[in-house]
Formats: sequence, C-alpha cells, structure tokens
Amino acid sequence: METSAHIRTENVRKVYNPGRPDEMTALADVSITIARGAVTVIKGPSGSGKTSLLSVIGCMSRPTAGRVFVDGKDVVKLPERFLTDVRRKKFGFIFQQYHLIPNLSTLDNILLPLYPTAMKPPEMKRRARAVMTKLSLAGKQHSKAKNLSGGEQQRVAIARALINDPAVIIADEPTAHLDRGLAAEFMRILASLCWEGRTVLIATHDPFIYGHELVGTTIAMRDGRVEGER
Amino acid sequence: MVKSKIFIGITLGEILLLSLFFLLSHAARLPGREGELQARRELVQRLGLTDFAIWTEARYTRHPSQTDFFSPFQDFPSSLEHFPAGSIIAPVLPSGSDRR
Amino acid sequence: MIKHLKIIDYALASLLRRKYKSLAIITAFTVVVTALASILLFTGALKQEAELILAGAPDLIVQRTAGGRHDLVPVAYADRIRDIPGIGLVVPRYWGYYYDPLTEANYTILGTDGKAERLELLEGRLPEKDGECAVGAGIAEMQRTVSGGELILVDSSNTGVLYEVVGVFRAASSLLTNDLIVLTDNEVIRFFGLPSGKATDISVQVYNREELQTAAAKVKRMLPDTRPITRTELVRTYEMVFNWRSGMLLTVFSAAVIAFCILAWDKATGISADEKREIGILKAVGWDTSDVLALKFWEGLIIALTAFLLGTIAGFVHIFFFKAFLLAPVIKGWSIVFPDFHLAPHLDPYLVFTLGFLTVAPYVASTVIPAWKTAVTDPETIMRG
Repeated sequence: METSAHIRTENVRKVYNPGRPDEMTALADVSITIARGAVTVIKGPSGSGKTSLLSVIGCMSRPTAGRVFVDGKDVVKLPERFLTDVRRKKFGFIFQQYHLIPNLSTLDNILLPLYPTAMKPPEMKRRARAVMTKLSLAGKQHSKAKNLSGGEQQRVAIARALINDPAVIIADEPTAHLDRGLAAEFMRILASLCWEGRTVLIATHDPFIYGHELVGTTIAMRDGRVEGER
Repeated sequence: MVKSKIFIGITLGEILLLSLFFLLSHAARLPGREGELQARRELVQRLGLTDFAIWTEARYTRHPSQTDFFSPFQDFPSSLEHFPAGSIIAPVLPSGSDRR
Repeated sequence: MIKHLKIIDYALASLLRRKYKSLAIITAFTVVVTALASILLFTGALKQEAELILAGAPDLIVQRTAGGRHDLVPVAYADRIRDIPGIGLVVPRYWGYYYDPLTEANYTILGTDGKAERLELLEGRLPEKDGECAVGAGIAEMQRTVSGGELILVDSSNTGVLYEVVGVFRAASSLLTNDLIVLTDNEVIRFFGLPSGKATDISVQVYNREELQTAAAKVKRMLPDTRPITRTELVRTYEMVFNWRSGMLLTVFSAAVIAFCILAWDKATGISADEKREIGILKAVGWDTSDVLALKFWEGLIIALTAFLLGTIAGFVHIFFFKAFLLAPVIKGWSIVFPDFHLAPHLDPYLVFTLGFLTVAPYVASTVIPAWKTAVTDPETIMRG
C-alpha cells in the first residue's frame, strides 16, 4: 500500500444536466479536508450531495468547478487515462448497491479491477485468496454473486475495493441494506483497515455509523453545502 | 487466462487448416493432378469440346459459350427467359465486343 | 500483452454467460458465411477449371447466323477460311441436341472423325463405325447401359436406331462428358438428317494465339453472316458464372445482407441496460475507456472471426470434399442429367481476405460503436442511470 493519501477539495461545484430543464446542483462550493489514516464520515439526509461528493473525491466524476487534491496533486484536470490510474491505485469504492456483476463468481468479481493491468494471473489469484481469507469468503469463491446473502455480497464488494491495495476506502451508505449485527461486522472490518493505515471515507445517514467510536471527523451536509464539521 | 489460450489455440488451428487448404489448392500442380488435368485437356482437344456439361435443362444453357443473345427469348416475340440457369450465367457477348 | 489476454478472457467469460445467444449468433453468421464462401469458391474453381482445361478447346469456332439465330454453316466456308494466312487446321463439326422423351433429358450428340482412339478418361474406345457410340457416365447411368451394351435413340425420321456402346467416359470427366453421346460424323449427319454440304459449325486452328482476335475479325469480314467465337471468350464465359448481376447471386447475397443487417441491428440499436450497467461497474473499478472499448472489440471479434473461419472452412469442405452437394440443387435448375462436381481445390487469398473484411469488420463495428457513448461517460453518470 502507498502511504495514506491526503485529500482536499477547494470550492467544488457539481451540476448535473447543465443548461437543461432538469438541471440540478448537487454540490455548491464544497471545501473540505479528509484526514490521513482516519475515518471521516459525511452525514446528511437523502439528496444532500453525499454520493456526489464521494464520486468527485473518488475520481469517478469531474466537478463542474473547483479543485480536488489527492496527495497534493490536482486531479480535476488530469486526462482520463491518468485519472483512471489514480482511481484504480488510490481508491477502493464500496457502492451502496454493491454493483457486483450478478452472473460472475465471487472470485471473478473481486478480480475485476485487476483485469486491465499487467499483473500476471498467479499474482492476481494470490491477492484474491489473501483478501477472501481476511473477509471469510474463501468457501464462496466459485459461487455466483447473485446467489450470495446481503452480508456476503457486501464482503465481496469490500474485497473488490481492497484488491488493488488502495490507500483510501470510500463507502457509500454501507449499512443501508444490513441489520444491526451485520452493520457491527462492517465496522469491525473497517477498524482493521484503519489499523493498516488506510484513510476511510463514509457517506451515511445511519446514526450507528456516525456515532461510532471509530469515527474521527464528521462533516454534515445539506442541500449540497457543508453545514458543519466535528 | 485458460479461456483466452483455448480460444487463440482454436483460432490458430482454424487458420492453419485454411492455410493447408491453400497449400492443397497449390498442390494441385503436383504430378498426380497435372496428369489428371492433362487427361482432361486431351479429351477437350480430341473431341473439340467447348463447354462444361452442367446445365442440360435447355440447349442454350448447355453450351453458354456458343449461344447467341436471342436464344433465351426465342420461343415467341415476348417470351421471357425461363430456365433457372439463365439466372446463374451472364449472357455471352459477340466476338470483338469490348463491353466487358 | 498480458493485459489483452486477460481482457480476451473476460470477453470470453462474458459471451459464455450468454452462451445460448452467442451460439445462436455464431451459428447464423457461420451459415451466411458458408453460403457466400461456397458460391465464391465454386465460381473460382470453375473459372480455374475453364482456364486450365478449356485451354485445349478449338482456337476459333465459326457459326453461321440467320435472322439472329444459329443456322447450319456451308462446308464450303471451311475452304475459304483455310485460305486466310495464319490459319491452320479447319474442320467442320457435326453436333446437336437430342431430347429423350422417356427420361425428359437433353443429351448432346457429338460427331468424331471415326478414329477408334483410346483415351485415358474413356473406358473403351471412340466409335469407328456408324452403329457404334461412346457415352458419358450420366447417360450410361440413366439408360442403364455399360461398355459393350446397347443404346436406342430415335432419329430425325422418327426411326429407332440401335447403337453398340463401345466406350463410356469415366466419372472423373463428368464435368465435360456427362451428357455426351459420341457418334461418327457420318452417323450424326444421317441421324439429324443434315442437308448435304452443311455442318453445325467449323473449328479453326490459329497458329499464333496472340492473333485470335485478328483472325476472328478476318473471318467476320470475309463471311459477314458468320459469328466467330474465340477461345478467350469461351473461357471468359465461366468467369461470368454467378456474376454479381445474375439473378441467383443477387438473391443469395440479398438474403445474406438482410440476415446480416438483422444481426447488426440487434447490436446497433443501443446497448441494453444490463450492458450499460456492466460498463459503469467496470469503469468504476478502474477500467478506462480504452479498456472497455477493447473488451467490446474482442467480444465482437471473437464471434465474427469464429463465424468467418468456420464458414470459410465449411464452404471449402462443402465444395471440394462433398462436391458442392448443397449448391448442386440450386445450380441444377431443371436439368435431368447433372454432373458430379469433381473440382480441383482452389482457394484465392484475395477472396478470403475480402470475405473476411466484409463479414468481420461490420460486425465488430456494430459491437463497438453502440458501446462507445457509454464507454466515454463518467462511471458515476452511467451508474446513476
């Protein structure tokens, strides 16, 4: 893993469908700093811009205006190929819907980020096995993703996010489909990631998460703006 | 990468087979085939043959190289070409014509 | 290299996940390519046979026309043609067609000079007397006769004539001799009741093959009611088999093009929601646009290349190993006597590349292009739907 990344946004604005009747401003002038090696939570009600902010920080989309610094480098103006490289190497994304490919096996879903790299298959398999063992998925490697339980699917999503050994883990509403027991399990996994020195960024409106002792900083958002930071 | 290796292997096999077919068509120049060709040429020369005996459904389709322009329509003034072979072979052009 | 092998692996896995659909497309595509390849290989082989074999045909055939139709030619014309410089042997030919009402088949009756020669492709010999004949394999089979057997034909005076079969042409020559009945010249004249001093046409030898057109022009000038046919035109006739303007070829190609358009339309009318979502996931986990497009390219190429190669191989095997048995009924028309196609294998690389380009390129394009718009979009936008 590379040294934990330091992330900073400066006056970030994100407008969807600009100039069209359904134009929507998801983020308006957001400037935040994400602490290195800690758990930061972005909380807010539905529609507050949490997911959009995660996408912009995770290099999944470009802001309409403003800058995003990852390890001191402004990534907004990077050509697509370099941006993808940053996304792949530095970030591991856990989606709210998990977004696994249903008919692919657990193993193949986890290996997905490694296909377009020059890594040799034996090394790919070795990494996958290590991450599956860590997340207790070893017995499910050939099961199709659509046949897994909710908790198992989330662990596969986490494993896929970890396969590239990223410095930053981003999770969007990770406990939305989980019961309290599985939510606690998720936080235990997150704790182990923090101990490894990774930066964790979570968007949630679940009080179980943002009230958890693991959380370092909480940033409150409403209507695309930062309301407060604790 | 097992699947990709199998696919590439099969594809190379198919290309090899096509290459063998290509060599086979050139091996047609081998003595055995040359002997066969010579025998057929001898037959053509001895009997003065001008056409392949393929379309025997009508006189003019049997000898397309010898047929004139009008035979397909010869039965009566507004008759139409009505043999299937007519839709396979193009009409013969008169000697000295440069329409082709 | 490794990256591309891994992407190919993923593309194959992706196609196998929809294995019935993929198999159906490959099968339909292969059938289309087989049909096209069969026709192209058949015409190529026939053209080559014509070039190689009909090289022994007469240099010039002189016919006579009356009212635009073929008429018998006076034998005296042969003497006049002989006087043209550069002309060698000039021989009147006697031949015609015979319709057998019993078998409803047309035969060709050909006259020879009566020299009882043996030929490699003839089991027996050529006729030397008026009551003898040599027949093609197709006729022997149809009339159930053999060398040493008998053949009855009805002549122009409606009289049945019995011939002794002294030779049967071998099956290997059936492309040339399948429907032939060879009699002596005198017997042909008597059989058809040809008027004295008239022949069917005249065969002319030209010493200098470069001068064929000139010799033909001289004959035409000297005898304006004749129609000289050069050997070049003879060979060229077979280049025109399945010419693109021929009805049969237009029909087959139209069917192939329509089938192809249906395949391409299915792909080109935009990619499905599932495919869009999959591309979004790939981009989100670190695939860039070129990787996604490479994936789509390989998906298209795997199907198109497999279908093209299998189709071309099947076409070749069909024409040269199975004697074009599927194409034969299409070509046969209403022929009763129809030969087996013992064609020499002929594979033109230009034909293979053209067929490959015309089949593979459009299919790959119809797979890549619809995915393009999605592939260049931000992953977040794709996944938001």
